[in-house]
Amino acid sequence: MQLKHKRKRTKNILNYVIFMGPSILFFTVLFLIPLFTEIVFAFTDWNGIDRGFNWVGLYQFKRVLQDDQYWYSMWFTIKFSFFVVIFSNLLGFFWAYLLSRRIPLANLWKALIYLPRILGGVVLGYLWRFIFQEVFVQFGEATGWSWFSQMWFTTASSSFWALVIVMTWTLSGYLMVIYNAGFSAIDDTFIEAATIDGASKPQILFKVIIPLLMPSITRCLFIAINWAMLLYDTNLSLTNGNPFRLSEGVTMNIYSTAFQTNQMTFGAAKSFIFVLILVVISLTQVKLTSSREVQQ
Amino acid sequence: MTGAKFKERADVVIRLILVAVSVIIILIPIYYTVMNSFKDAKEIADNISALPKHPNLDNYKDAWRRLNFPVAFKNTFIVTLFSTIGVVIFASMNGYWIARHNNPFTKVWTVLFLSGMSVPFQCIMITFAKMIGLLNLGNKYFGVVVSFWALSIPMAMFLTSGAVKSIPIEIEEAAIIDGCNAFTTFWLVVFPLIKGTIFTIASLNVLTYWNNYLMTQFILTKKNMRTIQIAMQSLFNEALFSWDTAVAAVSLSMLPLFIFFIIAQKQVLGGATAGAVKG
Repeated sequence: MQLKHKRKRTKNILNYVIFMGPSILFFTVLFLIPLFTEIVFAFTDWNGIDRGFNWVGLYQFKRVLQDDQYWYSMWFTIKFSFFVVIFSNLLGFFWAYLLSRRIPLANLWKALIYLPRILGGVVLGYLWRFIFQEVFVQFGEATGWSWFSQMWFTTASSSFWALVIVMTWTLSGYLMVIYNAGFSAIDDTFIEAATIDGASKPQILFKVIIPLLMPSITRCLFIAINWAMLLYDTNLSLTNGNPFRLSEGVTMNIYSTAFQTNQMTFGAAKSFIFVLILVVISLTQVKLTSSREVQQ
Repeated sequence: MTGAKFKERADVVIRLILVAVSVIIILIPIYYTVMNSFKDAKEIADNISALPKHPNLDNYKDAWRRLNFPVAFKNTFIVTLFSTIGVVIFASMNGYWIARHNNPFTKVWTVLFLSGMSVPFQCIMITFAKMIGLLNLGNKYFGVVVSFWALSIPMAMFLTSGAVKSIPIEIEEAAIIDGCNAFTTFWLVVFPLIKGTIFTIASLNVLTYWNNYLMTQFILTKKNMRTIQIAMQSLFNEALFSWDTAVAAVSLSMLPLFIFFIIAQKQVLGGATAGAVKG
């Protein structure tokens, strides 16, 4: 009897190894250990090569606080994210609203609006570099609209708005799909009841649809904030920090600290602070918007 | 009544016009890029909006050679394929087991995997790069593939876990009585039932893997190991060339994605909403 019990136990452990083992192994080696060591290294002066290192407490964090370029890139990223989040959510919501009623070819429109989203960050940046530096410039010269024909990526503001435009272009369609799912989950009877009660269209939108869509809004804001804040590929390919590191996002700043100037532990402290700020912003947003959610 | 019907019609027409105008504006950048890729540099500089006078593939030949496109395509394809297959296998098994076994061990790992979903790659990239060197995974397909597994298992696992929970457990109990063990129960009974979610996970990840740059660049640095994204970045970084080749390179690297999107459009759009659970 005891033998049978023991055999069953071994078999059970074997099942855990088969089902969870690979996932746990890969995840531990390439995620958990790097995460843990990165946090630990932020408190040391390890140079990335030598075997030994010293504990330096909060020294690296103090350096981060004094690094003006880092805080410039942080502020740049937050400002950039603010505009991208607002624009992409407004557009995504607007398109989902248009597509919330049965219109001909709805699936085709949806696919085409989503299309920019499938392009990878590097390709995206080079595609738009052509649009800004060639198409916009020729368009501006032809029409006399000097905003279009400015020297793109030679001023801080042109790089900033270029990034905002490109990220809005790629993110809006994605948010549209999520809002669209939210719209189709709304029970039509609510809107019918409101119509019968004599509510106008704007009233229905603001008093019925938007409150019912709060879960989608929470979700879309969260996604947009995270995508915008974590910007890297497009930053690299579109502006590459030009001019003079004035369009450098936080990830690019951390990357150059850790890999171009080889200050790994300094970079680790930077990424640690960055993620803390990101988490605080995301949690505040989720708290603010989810408190407005209503039961359907 | 006819008035109401007319209003209804007008509403649809207005929506249709607004959507069509939006779509045109969205597609303008892609249209200009692709259209100009058939012109030479002088034609582009003369009038960017004019259709190509002598459409030819010279730019594409140049871009094909400079990107080393067949090799870059092959690398991207291999990495994407094996990453996707692996994540589906490992994450679905893991997600299934966690959904069906509620004990301290699975609970602890659920929390740890959850951390994997909420901590961005940026926070681990420095030591991750060291780890790749330490494990000697640099410039190996396996290195990229296994890293993608590690990073995307959490989300894929939670998606399968959710799908498994919606299946009545009686089906599995019946399978066990019929002589299935845990392994065959999962693959023969449960897996076919969660196929929809599996397709969603796959299509969601295919695009992520195909387009990844930040993580891949740490691993695939050799010239003949480059993926399309990395080949694009080094092309624009290293070589001096004119916009005619550049737009052809951009168009060329977009092409596989467009083909994939046309084929798997439904799954990709479905995946977009499912993936949004992340968070």
